[in-house]
Amino acid sequence: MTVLVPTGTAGPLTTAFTIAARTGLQLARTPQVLGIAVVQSVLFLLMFRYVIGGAIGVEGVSYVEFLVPGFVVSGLIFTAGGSAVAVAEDAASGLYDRLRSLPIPGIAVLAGRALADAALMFFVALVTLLVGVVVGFRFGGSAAEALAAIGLVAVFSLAFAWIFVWLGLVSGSAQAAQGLGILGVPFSFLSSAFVRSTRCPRCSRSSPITSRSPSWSRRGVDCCSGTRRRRRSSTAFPTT
Amino acid sequence: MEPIVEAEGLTKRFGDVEALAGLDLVVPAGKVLALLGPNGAGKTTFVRTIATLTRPDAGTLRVAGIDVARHPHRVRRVIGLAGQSAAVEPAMSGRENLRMVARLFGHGRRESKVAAAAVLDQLGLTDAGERLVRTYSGGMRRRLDLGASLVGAPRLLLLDEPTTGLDPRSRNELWRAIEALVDQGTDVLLTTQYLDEADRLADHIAIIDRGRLVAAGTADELKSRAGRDVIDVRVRDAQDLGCAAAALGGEATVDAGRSRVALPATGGADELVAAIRALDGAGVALDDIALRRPTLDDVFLALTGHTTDAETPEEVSA
Repeated sequence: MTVLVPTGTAGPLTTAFTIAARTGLQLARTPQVLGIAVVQSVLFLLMFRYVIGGAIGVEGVSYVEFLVPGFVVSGLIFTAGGSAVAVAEDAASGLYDRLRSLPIPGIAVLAGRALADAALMFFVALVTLLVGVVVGFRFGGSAAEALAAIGLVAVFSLAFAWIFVWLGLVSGSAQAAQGLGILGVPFSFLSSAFVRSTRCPRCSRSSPITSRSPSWSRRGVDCCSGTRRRRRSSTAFPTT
Repeated sequence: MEPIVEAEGLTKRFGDVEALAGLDLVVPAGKVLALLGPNGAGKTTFVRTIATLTRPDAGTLRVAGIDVARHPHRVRRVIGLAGQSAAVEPAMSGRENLRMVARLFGHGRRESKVAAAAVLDQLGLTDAGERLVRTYSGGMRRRLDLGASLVGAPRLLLLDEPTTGLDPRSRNELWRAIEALVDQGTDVLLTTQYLDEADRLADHIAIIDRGRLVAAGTADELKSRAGRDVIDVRVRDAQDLGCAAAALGGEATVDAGRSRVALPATGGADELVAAIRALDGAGVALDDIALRRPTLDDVFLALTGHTTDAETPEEVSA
């Protein structure tokens, strides 16, 4: 048997899906990764719901109603850290050297990776949301609004996946990538996902993460929980 | 035929380090070229430049006549790269790994299947094809990695230190796999620190040191540049050593510990015949007599003024 010279080249879609399929197989064959991500996210949720949440008061709404939407979004960071580590490991293994020496568009390689990581993050977020419902969270708006909120979580997953793929590439080693991933966690506490921003110190209240962030925390909170809060209490979500 | 690689004045700096310092090298098509040099000589930088991974600061580089700086994408259709580490996915089977890379090389789904099967067969991995790579030995991973660079049937295969870190048995297996490829007509450019590896696999050897070409040629050409042959004589009875040395003349040196006499030879086979006659005439009984060519180690030392500084493979595997 001889190997024939390929007649065509792999386009961006073939490349992205081939790389995404590889990451998917990796996850399927190493179920611990997915398992740990789910357990971690759910544990954090339960911790806030039952342990720490008791000490945090939010006016006009029960804490679980306040917590779950914001936690689902900021919890994406917990999962995304793993993708930075995996990308750094791939880079160290020489995989990207091989891929860059192939006649394929480089951006499609990263897109494939980000797509698979986003799917993982989205799945973990869905499980977390489901557990949130079990422990007392209810969607307040219409089914369409709930679906739109979940759709937005998917979009956020993809956006975060790109950021963490990039972090994995520039970190230089898996260890550094892990450190970078963990660095994101304390920043998530600066958001208004856990504590109402009016109760935060003045400095963080006006920080870009709580009040002016165009990208994630507030919008995520707004989108997922705002529909209900607006109806229940006009002061539930003060604009800052 | 057009040379497969043509480098002219290739320069690449990394900060203070000049990895390539004006490298000129022409690799004829249809050959196996070994790039031989110590750590830090610029071998890997050169391979990465050919593989379009590193952009040179100055100079020109053509692969199969294609300018690497201007048409990197076209160069990528010609080459296959197996880097220093085995870039295969442990959570996938050997066959899945090859099919994935085959798809990326541009094969269709069916062709990928065929190419993966052919390469597994070629590298003796068919039996292990369905096993996850995480269960493979180091040598098997390297062979699979070599296979991954082959599924696109590249004209030029780039192997960067293919056997570094392998035990002697795996090394031999990989050598046989590479030799089989060469027999099928794939051009190979490999880098190595091991003189025996260059000697065994390559038609042409280019010695580079500090980013420059020091010497190039066939192993035999390089060896004859390095110095003279040696006639090695082993006498049957150690008492004959002095007598043998006297018969061979003034330049002969005696290695009493191993019952050997060594004579530097410039005249090749004629001188060997003369030596045998002289020893016969003196009535010395011989166990062995041979004309030994200098090893590539001798060559490297003679050309660069220092040894390869390479660990021997035995030390690596220990």
